[in-house]
Amino acid sequence: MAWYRSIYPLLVIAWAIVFIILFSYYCPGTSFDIAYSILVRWSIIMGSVVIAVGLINITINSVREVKKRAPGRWHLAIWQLLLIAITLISGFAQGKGSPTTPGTIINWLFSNFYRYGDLAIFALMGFWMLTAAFRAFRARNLETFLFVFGAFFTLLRNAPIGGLIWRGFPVIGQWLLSVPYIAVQRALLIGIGVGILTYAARYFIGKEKAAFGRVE
Amino acid sequence: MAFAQKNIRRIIYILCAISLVITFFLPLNLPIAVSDETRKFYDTLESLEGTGKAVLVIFTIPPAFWGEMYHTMFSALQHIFLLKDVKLVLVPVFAAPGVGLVNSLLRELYNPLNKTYGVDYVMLQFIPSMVGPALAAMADNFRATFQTDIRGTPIDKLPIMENINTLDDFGVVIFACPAKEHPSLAVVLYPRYPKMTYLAICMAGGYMFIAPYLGNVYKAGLWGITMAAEYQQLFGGPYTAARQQCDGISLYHILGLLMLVLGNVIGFREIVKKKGGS
Amino acid sequence: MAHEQSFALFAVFMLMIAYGMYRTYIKGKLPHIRRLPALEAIDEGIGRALETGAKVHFGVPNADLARYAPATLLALTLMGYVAKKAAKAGVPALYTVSSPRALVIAEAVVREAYTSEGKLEDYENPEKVNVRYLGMGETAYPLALANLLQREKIATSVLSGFVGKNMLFLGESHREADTFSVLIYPEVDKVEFGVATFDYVLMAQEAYAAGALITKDKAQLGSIIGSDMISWTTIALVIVFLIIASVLGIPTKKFLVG
Repeated sequence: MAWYRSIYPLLVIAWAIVFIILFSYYCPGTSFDIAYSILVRWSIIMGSVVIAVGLINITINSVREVKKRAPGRWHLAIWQLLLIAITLISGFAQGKGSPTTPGTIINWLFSNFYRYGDLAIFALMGFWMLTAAFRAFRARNLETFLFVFGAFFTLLRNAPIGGLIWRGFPVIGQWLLSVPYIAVQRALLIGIGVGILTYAARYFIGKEKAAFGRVE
Repeated sequence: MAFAQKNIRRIIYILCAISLVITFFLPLNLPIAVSDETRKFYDTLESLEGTGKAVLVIFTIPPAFWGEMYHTMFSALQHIFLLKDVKLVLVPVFAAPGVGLVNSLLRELYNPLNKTYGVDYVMLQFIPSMVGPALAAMADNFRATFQTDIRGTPIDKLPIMENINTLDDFGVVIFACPAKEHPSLAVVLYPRYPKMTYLAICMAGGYMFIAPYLGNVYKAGLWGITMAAEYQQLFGGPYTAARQQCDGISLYHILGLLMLVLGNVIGFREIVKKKGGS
Repeated sequence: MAHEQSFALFAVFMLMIAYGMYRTYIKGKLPHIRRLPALEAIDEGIGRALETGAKVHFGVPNADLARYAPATLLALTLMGYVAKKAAKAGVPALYTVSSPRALVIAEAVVREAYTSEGKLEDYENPEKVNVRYLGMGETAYPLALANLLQREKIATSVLSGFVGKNMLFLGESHREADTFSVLIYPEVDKVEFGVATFDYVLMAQEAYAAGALITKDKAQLGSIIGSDMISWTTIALVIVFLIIASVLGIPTKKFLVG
């Protein structure tokens, strides 16, 4: 394989970027800061361009679903295309500005549709939580029993009524949340940090090829 | 029984909806005990009264979490507005929708409490970067990080910003975010300003991200609608929506407990049946 | 922590990983790594899809290369692994991401996987292989995926990357659609819901180790030894600082913050 088609030129670029970022963090006030801010600007520009790629992909797939009359989905695909068109047209009509600029069409769409939709989807969690409590939180062995035990006291700790039923419920629930739960979470977080370091090391030596669009 | 098993999801969803909606028509008015944590948060803000200091509220709130964060943010901001001779500086970071959300909240507060924008409170320009770099920039040079406020007015023209040049000029820094970004403050801001008083506002589900820092980095925290309702009780605020929602939360959690117990009873029966059959 | 101290710790940890790789790559001592049932479940899932004639799905929720870069890149590595297996087995597959940036990389990875198995014509047939961008943000992707799971015949679904607040939503969607689900989650947020709702779960450090295990490459396996050394060092440091703070009464903040 020709050298320019191998992974090594990409690896050299990746190394250069990583070192600029590391040095700008550990040695602030040097010219690495300027290089860092240039890199950040380039990544924002590239991110904006790449959004067009996503838009094309979603449009192609939606049109395909409409053409195929995919059962249960083709009418949603039409709705999706319509929403894409509305957002694009209102964005272009607005010109300069952002969703935070009050008085603009995009801001209106954002505040009156997207915001409430996002909130509604998160609110659905309440229904899923009860279904999971009924179906999934079942004590089958010691570990799942401890799981159910913790869930029981956490529910009573979070509800104001728990303290009214018995004063001990919020105390036990708070202890479970503050001591064993946090301890395990911190241990997992440290493990994740270690995992990220090892991933970074594998990336540095060119073993993790997915970042460059290759497979092992 | 067969009908119940076939439609168990629908039954659960209906019960869930009933438990949440019923308290709008039949308020239970369950008493809420004020926790030590809420009292600490309240006392920290109360101690600023008459000092002439400003409170810096850095927030990043995506719309999905507004249902819960609204109550705690409302309680804290209302308290700050009620304090004599205390200014409020808001800084939106990372989550753009948070600007509109907090603006709508401020609209509910500044009129009844006769607060003037630019004099009593201000929202500085939105920082689109992630939380860590934004905090680092503010720690390096607070004044230089912002050229204008959110409306485009240069900050030199804002009376509230006259005596504010660095983070040390604030009395308290409140960081409001749903969950994950709280360690950023502990890692980026706290080592540079360890003597500053920090307070946290987050969701109930974000407690695990602030718990390790409570008592050392953060003086106190407010998480969840229940604590917002406790807070309202402390200064007798007119706002009672948090208080109302606590009844719904209580019923919902009792329903959750019932589902947990019922699920385990059914599961246990199935195990016994299987063992008996084999 | 002051910059100097964190840099020193970073350098020491990287040296440990380098030592682990040296031990395996140069000296040839392969580490013994316990079974990860979730990785074996992927093979089982692909077999299931082959039997039932349904699709295999691999999804990356929250594929944000800015905020969750390590989790997303790991997910793309695993996507290549699953793509190779699916290509070899000849099962139809659907690959979904929630970010246009990740879409570009995902398309390259999947194409390369199918090319390496000599199945490029499958990749170019959208009925057989489809790489889709479902929508950005933490709301659009789970909704779109839930819809896909209901409407398309998906036998097995593997999710990897940062899932976060929609863990329960995604888990229950898979349950409702009766899809065999595997979660490879290199994070800790809402992991308890994942464990309760998904069939198989790999979490935290295990997920990163899986990224090395699937390659069977010596240097990558050696990095797992390095990561274990770091874990033991961290445990030792915790115990040392615990003794310093509790028994000797010296405030440890001095060492860390200065």
